[in-house]
Amino acid sequence: MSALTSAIADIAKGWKYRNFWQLLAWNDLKQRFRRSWLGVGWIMFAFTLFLGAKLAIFSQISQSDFNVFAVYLTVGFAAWRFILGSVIEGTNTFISAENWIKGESLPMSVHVYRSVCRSSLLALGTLPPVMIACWYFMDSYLMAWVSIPLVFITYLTTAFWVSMVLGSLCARVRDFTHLITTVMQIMFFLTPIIYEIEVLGPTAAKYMAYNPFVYYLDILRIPVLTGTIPWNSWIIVGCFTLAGVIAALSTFAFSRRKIVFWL
Amino acid sequence: MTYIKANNMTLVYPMVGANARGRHKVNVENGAVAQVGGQIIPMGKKGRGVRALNGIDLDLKPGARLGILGGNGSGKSTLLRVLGGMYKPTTGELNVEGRITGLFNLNLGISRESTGYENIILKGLMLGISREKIKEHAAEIAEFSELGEYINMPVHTYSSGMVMRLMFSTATSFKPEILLLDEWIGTGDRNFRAKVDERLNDLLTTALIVVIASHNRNRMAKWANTIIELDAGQGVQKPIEEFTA
Repeated sequence: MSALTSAIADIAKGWKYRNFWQLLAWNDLKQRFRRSWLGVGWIMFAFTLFLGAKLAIFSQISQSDFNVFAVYLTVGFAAWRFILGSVIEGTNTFISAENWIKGESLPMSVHVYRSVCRSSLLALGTLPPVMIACWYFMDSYLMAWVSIPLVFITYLTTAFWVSMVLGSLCARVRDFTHLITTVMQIMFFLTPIIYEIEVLGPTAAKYMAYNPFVYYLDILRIPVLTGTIPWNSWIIVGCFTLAGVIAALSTFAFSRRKIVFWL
Repeated sequence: MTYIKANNMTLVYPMVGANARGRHKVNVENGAVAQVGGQIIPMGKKGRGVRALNGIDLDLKPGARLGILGGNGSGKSTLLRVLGGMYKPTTGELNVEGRITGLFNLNLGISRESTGYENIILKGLMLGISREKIKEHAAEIAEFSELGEYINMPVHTYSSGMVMRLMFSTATSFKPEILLLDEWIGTGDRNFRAKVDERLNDLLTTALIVVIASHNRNRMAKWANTIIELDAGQGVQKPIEEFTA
């Protein structure tokens, strides 16, 4: 069997372990909030608090109507949290699973599923405040409801390939973990989340075309805000997803049996 | 049918990051060797590797009780993990048929922050057993391990002997077809060691392969029916009759 077909078989086999990695992911979260009174409730509480503070400050420099900006910021920030979470958790996919990788003969993809599941559970915790904000500040559009399931599928696929690529890369060359964490902090400021592109003026706005995160936010934010589908952004996100999946499969095929030696 | 068959198996650990900042250079040019461990060999342009296993042949059928003997760093644990499927042999062949459970060390394959009970659930789910069935096992495991209420406390509150009790009881409760044990299993107190021996004997009657890595030659001489003695990753499997403790 070639390395690629065994990699695909590994991914299929890993899915059969879903009861196992779902519980592991849930335990990871419980562990993170262990001995706190709010427990996993902290996910929602911290997000709401952050959102409130950001809204109070940055609505001052926004040129839009307050209600529109509130939804813009809420949806954008929630999406960013998921993207950021997937990338950061992704860098640790295999490193944090060392005791399972060395102790049990599991399909390697189990650890990728676990990582994606963990980020998704975190994102799920931010969903209620987002839904309340959207419902409170503006009417919903039909197109938003149509595109949201597709956006979620795209985001999950993205989290999966990102975890696979970054997980392997960071297990092999540990410097990448630090580099990526730093780059993501910079990207938060270079991505229109707490401000709108228009605030930047035409020259700076032009460079936004080179920021892939903008397209990932657009596919969620634009339908919610305007009720239209941003086809251009979808095409670009689609291309990224395809390229990402190919990159992930090749990385995984190459590194699957080597990762254990890198830990 | 359950079996393990290895043919001229070699395993080389790559030394990842051997050239990273702050690392001493590992010399291999003068054929430098140590008294312990596998042979350090050059790998790629500047890299280094450790040949932990070198040309291993094994043939185990149901009922086999293999004892792996050897000094520190001779490759005992590596061989166990290769058999367990964690490491793929660098060269040579390995064919294993049967449901494997391995107990390698107290930190592996266990979630230290979770309770004993949660760990039992995890292991059961990993083997694809339903939650109801796992609960029945959990009661039995709690009793056999004598952990009592500790089963509902996080594993990091356990002593190492207690972790061992939990791991051994869990692993054997789910009835593996191949059981791989590192020597620490013998570190339990006398009371539990008797239970361990008894359970290993029970398991063997249900047509199993059990492999134990150990330093204890006398104990292996009594327990095993086949032996491999490793030295710097090399060794030949022999019947117990040819072994002298």
